Parts: sequence; C-alpha cells; structure tokens
Amino acid sequence: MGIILVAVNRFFGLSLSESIIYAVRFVLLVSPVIFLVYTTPASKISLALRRSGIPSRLHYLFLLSFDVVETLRDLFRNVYIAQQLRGLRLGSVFGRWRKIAPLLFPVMLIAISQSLDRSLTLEFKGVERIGNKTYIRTLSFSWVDRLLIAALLAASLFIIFNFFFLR
Amino acid sequence: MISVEDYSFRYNHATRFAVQHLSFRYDTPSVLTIAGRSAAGKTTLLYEIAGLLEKHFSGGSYSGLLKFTDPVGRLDPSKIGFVFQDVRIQLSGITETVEEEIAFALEQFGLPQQIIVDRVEEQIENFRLDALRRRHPRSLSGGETQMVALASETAKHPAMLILDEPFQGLDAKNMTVLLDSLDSLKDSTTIIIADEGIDSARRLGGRVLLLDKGSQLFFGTLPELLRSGSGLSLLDLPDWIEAQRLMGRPFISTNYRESVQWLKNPRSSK
Repeated sequence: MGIILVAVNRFFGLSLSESIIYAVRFVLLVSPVIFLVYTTPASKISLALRRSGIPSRLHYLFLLSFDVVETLRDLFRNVYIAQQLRGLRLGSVFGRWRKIAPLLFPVMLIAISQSLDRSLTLEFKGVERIGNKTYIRTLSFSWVDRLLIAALLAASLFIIFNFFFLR
Repeated sequence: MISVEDYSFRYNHATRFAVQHLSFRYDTPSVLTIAGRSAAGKTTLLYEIAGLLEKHFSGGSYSGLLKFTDPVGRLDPSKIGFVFQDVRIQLSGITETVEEEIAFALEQFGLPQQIIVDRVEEQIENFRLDALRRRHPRSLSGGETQMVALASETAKHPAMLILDEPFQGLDAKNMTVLLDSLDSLKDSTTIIIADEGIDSARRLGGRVLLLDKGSQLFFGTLPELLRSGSGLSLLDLPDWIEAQRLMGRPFISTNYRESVQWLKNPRSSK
C-alpha cells in the first residue's frame, strides 16, 4: 500500500489525504481477488462460475488467465537461464531495463506462438462447441451459501442506496 | 479411403512449397506413418488431413486434390483426435488433476456423465496412468504429459487419430504402452503418425509415406521400403536394421531375433 500511496502522491500530484484514500481504495479492490485466488483452487472457482450461469467460453478464459501467468513465469525463467548461459548479465536495478529486451522479445514471441497453437488444440477439445456440455463435477449451493449471497447483495444495495440517495 | 492426387501446399509468404506433388491413396481404418526428417512437410500434411490449413492458414496456396471418401468428418473435432508435437500446449490449462484433464474434452462435447467416468477409467487403465490420476497436469514430466495428452484425445473414441511425433520424450516403457494402445485401436480407427523413425510402422504395420523437403520419396509398406532402400538414410533406424542395411543385406528383416541371428553370422543365410 505504501508504494501505491507514494506513486499516487508523486505522479498524480494529489494531496496526502487524497493519496491515502486512493491507495486504500486500490487495496480494497484488489485484495479480495488476490485472497480468492490464493485460498480457492481454480477447479472450485470454475464450478462456482459455471453454477452461476457464466457462459463456458468466458469462464474458460477467466481460468486460463491464471494458467497463463504461471506459463509466462516458467517461460521467462527458462529464457533467462538460456540468455545467462549466453553471457547476459542484468546488473544493477537501474541498468536492468535496458538489458531486459533479450529476455522480453523471446518470451513474447514464444507466448504468441504458443497461444496460436493452443487455439488449435482447444478446437479439438471442443471448447468452441456451442450446445450442451456436461460436467462430472458440479457444485450445489447449501442454505449457508444462499444466506451469504443474500447478505452480500443486501449490503451492496444498502451501500449504493446510502451513497446515491441519503447524502 | 483417403486419396491424394498431385497435392502441393505453400504457406503464405514462404519461398518454397511445404509439400509438393504428393500422390497416394489408402483405405481406412488403417495406419499411415508419415516418415522423414525435420522440415520434410510431415506436420503440414497432418494439418491438411485434419482440415487445419484451410481454416487457420488461409493465405497459403494449394494445388491438386485431397479427398476423403469415408464418414470421417474433416473439421469435426469430435471425430478427430489430434496430439500436437508440443504437448505442453495440448493441456487445457484449467484442470487440476489428470482425471479432470482426460474428462475435459468429453465434457465439452456433452457426453453423458456415466460415459465420461467410464472412458476416463478406460484411458487410465490403457495408458497405465493410475499413479498419476490425482497429480496436477502442470507437475508432470514431458513423457507423462505426452501420455496424458494421448489419453485425453483417445478418450474421445475418434474415427481418426492424428499424432505428430508422439514418441518424443517417451522412455522405452511408455513407448511400449503407447504402441500397445494404438495396436488395440488400429482395427477401428484410422491412425496417422508423423515420425522420424519407423517404430510405429514396424509395430503397427500399415503404410509408410516417406517425405524429404516436401517431396514424396516412397509410399508403401515397411518391408517394401526396406527392400527398395530409397531414402533409408533419412530415417532414424534401429541399430540392428541400420547394421543390416550397411552390410548390404538384400532383404532387410524387421524381426529383431532373426536380424540378430543373421548379424551374428551373415554368411549362413540371406
């Protein structure tokens, strides 16, 4: 949060109090997503999205984004090792940005090529198919889940109502 | 039947044809091994047979004909199983166990739940994946990923199974498991394999199409290829076959025991 506070304060020229508000807002918006991703397996998120009626293509793209992050991380590490063996030294923090091109370009090219190839493989897996899909694992909502969803919806409506009508 | 008549294809902006003047025909279901070195045009021909060139590489130029005269539907992903050369991109990327990965395509095609469960079990048994069934697909080694990719495509029970260099990264044990599985499928499924060697042709039989720089050097059975001797230097041959070739044996045997007997005493018999 400290980094965001300094960044907002310096780059946008806001006062300290405004910077604190924006930094807190940013952390509050991002932290639930990080919390969800770190505490819930992708398969459970998948089941919940499917149960909520999200179209299969959208929910696939959402889940694939987690995999892409890991794939890019592995790819970056492999390219870094390969370039190190060819004599690349990144050096100090400030000098790094100029030397990072031999890492970024191969990673980007491989990632683009892999994404094109993956689109071919997904075709044979029927991801683009329109029509009924069946799933061997399903998620059923218990009364506790329903109660929690209702409570969250009520709280959201209450906040919106207060914000727009009771100021 | 698949019939190819004077077929050529050049990718968009490429200076030379990826494959040129190919002509062969063979009955389905059966096994076809497309053999040759790197850049021989093996993958291009597989893409054409699967209908991918037409859909995804539309800027290329064609000539000649490639016809299917059986019910295998081109561009129908439920009828074609395709295992690509780079198996890492073959995984769906969103499943958390090997079981789920095998079931993924079946779920997308909307098969009934019980059939999906049965087919997952069938593939786990066929490909001896029991020890891996709860593992995360990302944690698998290259050879293990290859086996899971193959299991998930054969689980579809496709009419045509296309494998692009499926033996890459497989140890001898997994290679035997894969060849056993393909052997049990070959009577009901058209199997097309791109391979730098002749392992699949030796074990599964069928026809061999030998390519070099996009041109067809040979089409026929493996014994015919070994007899003709054309282009054998382009293939990764087992040492005991290579030894027979180098020693000038007129009829090269694909039987290991018989070959070793002959190599021990080449003058005893031909």
